[in-house]
Amino acid sequence: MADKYALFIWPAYLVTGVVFAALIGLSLSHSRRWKRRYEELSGKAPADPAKKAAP
Amino acid sequence: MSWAPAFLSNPERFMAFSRWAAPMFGLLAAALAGAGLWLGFHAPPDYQQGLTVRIMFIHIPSAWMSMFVYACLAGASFLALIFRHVLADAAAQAAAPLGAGFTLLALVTGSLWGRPMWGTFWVWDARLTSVLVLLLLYVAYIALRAALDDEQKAARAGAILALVGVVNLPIIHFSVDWWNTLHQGASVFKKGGSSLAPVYYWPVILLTLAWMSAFGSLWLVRIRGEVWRRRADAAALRVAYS
Repeated sequence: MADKYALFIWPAYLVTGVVFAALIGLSLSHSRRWKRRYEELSGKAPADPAKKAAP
Repeated sequence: MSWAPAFLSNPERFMAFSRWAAPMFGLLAAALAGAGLWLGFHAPPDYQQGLTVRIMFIHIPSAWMSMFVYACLAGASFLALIFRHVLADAAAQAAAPLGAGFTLLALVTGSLWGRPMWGTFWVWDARLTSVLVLLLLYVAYIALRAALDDEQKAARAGAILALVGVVNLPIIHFSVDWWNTLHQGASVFKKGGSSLAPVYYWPVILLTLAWMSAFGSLWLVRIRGEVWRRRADAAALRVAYS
């Protein structure tokens, strides 16, 4: 895109890519981190009294 | 709409649904973004804007999403405040960083379009200023939630802030009609139909649907993370007291 406006167009797409990559990366890492933490703790913790035992 | 609160009140059902729905929305977003970008990069230069019209294909969806996500945040906050749904509060908390991301994109891409078209990156015009206020509302919501240790107080304070901030949405939408602004008026959703030519209309619509699907996917992923975090906190308490 050899255009006089390329200096503005490409940075706009670059910023969009960076923001989306950050949102995806942070969302996935947040979810995975807490899932792992819960699994670690639930192995040590006594059974949740709020949950009914399976029949 | 009675299914919505029933669905929100059951975290197990939500976790089962979101496990397959999040990747599905992600795949849909990738396909729509691919189609939208392909059409956008094959669109001819606009007679006035030249090739900077390509910035509009990502600016307009980001601007719409910044407001749509805030409406979702406010709706979830309302449900959390009135019905005390734990998942609704998790949904509100999960939406804020995503909304901040879309609002930042709208401001940066708009600024990069404004420099060659208006001759400036920024003006204190009613539309730009009200969108900046929206970004500050998202940041304030995130900061407020992070500042309070008591989860219930943080949820209530955040919900009140989110609901007060709703007043900014009509201000953003009607700012171009109520004040004399440099920012142009509505060109897609307006009386008499869109004024965009189809070669510009379809990339905007496809990328809006892509952004919306991406939001759907990331929102579900973040709500799942919040559910895991709250379960981990409860398990940590059980470990501490055992």
